[in-house]
Amino acid sequence: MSKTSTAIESRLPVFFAALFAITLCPLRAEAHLNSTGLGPVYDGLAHFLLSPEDLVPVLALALFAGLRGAAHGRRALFVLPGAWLLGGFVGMAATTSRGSALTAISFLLLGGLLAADAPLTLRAITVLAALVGLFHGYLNGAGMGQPGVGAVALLGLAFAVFVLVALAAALVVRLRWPWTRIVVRVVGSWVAASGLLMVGWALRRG
Amino acid sequence: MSRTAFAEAGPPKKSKEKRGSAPLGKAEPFPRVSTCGFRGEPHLITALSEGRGYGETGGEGLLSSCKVSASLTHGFAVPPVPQAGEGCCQLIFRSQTKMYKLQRKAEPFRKSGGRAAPSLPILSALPVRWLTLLLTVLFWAASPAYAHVQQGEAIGFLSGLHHPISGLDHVLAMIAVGLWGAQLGAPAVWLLPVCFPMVMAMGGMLGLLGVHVPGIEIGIAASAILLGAAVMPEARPSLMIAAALVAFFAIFHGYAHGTELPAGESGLLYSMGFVFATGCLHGVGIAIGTIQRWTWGQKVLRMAGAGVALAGVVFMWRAVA
Repeated sequence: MSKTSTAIESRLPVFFAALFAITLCPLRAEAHLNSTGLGPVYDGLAHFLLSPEDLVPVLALALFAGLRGAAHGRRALFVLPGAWLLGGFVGMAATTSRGSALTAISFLLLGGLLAADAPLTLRAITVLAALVGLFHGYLNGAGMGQPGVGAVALLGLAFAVFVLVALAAALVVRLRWPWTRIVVRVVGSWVAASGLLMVGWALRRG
Repeated sequence: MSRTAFAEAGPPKKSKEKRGSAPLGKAEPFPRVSTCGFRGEPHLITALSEGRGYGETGGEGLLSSCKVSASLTHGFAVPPVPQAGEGCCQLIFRSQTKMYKLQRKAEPFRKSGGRAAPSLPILSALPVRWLTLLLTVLFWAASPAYAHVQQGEAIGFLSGLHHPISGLDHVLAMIAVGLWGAQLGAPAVWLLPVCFPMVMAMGGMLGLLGVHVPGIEIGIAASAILLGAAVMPEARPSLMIAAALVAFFAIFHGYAHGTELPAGESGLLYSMGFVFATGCLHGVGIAIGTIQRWTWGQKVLRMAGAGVALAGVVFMWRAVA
């Protein structure tokens, strides 16, 4: 018999004793998030990820900030979710949200900046991230409406914004080959083109 | 040749032409004909087995309906002649024009010397392996059955994604933009694919707003002709001229996309879908264009340009006709 198998055999009683102790103190299985209180957090998170009206501008801003450099990316990383939360809380007090045309303009603006790789300063990026966060957060807050649950959902939403900006900006900051940066700019042109079409849809609806 | 004339002239001589190349109305070995294309409607099989066909013996007819059985039933309203023989019909389906060409094969009729012949079991004349092959192909070509009306955002995106790749005119023009960009090199290789979606979206917006733009189909066909003609000789105009040319034609493509949103679907996702698909087609063109670095690749690209231009001529002919 080898040394290893002997060592395993000697530890078996301890292992079974630990297993027995764990089974003696079971916890409730929380199969549903409502009972944990985390449901609205995931609601907000999923709402963001499933809403292209919010997702695409955030992605465009994150790519743009990453394209400008690590400092710009870091600034957007913290300013955008913060402004989103603030705008959301303000929006909850509002009764209506009419933002389809302005959402289109945010597509157009952010996509255009990304496509052009506009040389914005750090301060300009900060202002841009704040404006985008306030505007989209306001629309989200106005849409949620319920102050209690909505606030928790907003937290989840802001967390999703934070994660997306961190991932996207970091990805672009790491890009070294020139053609990869051009691909990012091409994506910006697609966002801007979608924004133009959204303006058309908004004008068509009247 | 009419039925009567055929009977008077007697059975035709056996054709020495190869299978598959026989002109309409020529006699040919019987089992070759693609009767497997028919759905086995009872009245159709009966009519065929009695030697009746659409129109006259040895002739050909055009049916302008998708309903195969209904159209053929209409054709069989022609009273049968007394000495009708056996026969089969060949059905050639043209999806774009939705026309059917029918050809009656007179081989059994010839064999019987123009006399009435016993009924022909059409299905037994088909080799089992061909039926099996046909069934297999049909199973592979199966598409999902949608029991409910499709609505919602995801469908909007898929519709938009599908639209640019559903027409060869769009596909060829988009790929030609990528090919030309690859030939021109930087900065055109990325400027043209950036320029195109932006201006295309403006064209789409015009369509959405109901602004009338004349000659959309002609413009799309012209885009294929001119972009193919630019790739063929590896034309190298200034960047501004190249971008302006691409942008001009992008308006027509965008307009066509913008006016064709299916009802009940998300406009935003439809827009994103077709912009994304257009960009991917440019990407395909650029990827193909990377063979430009080799001598043989340059020749292939020029030939591809000629092909696109030629296809553009066909599109133009269709648009004008």
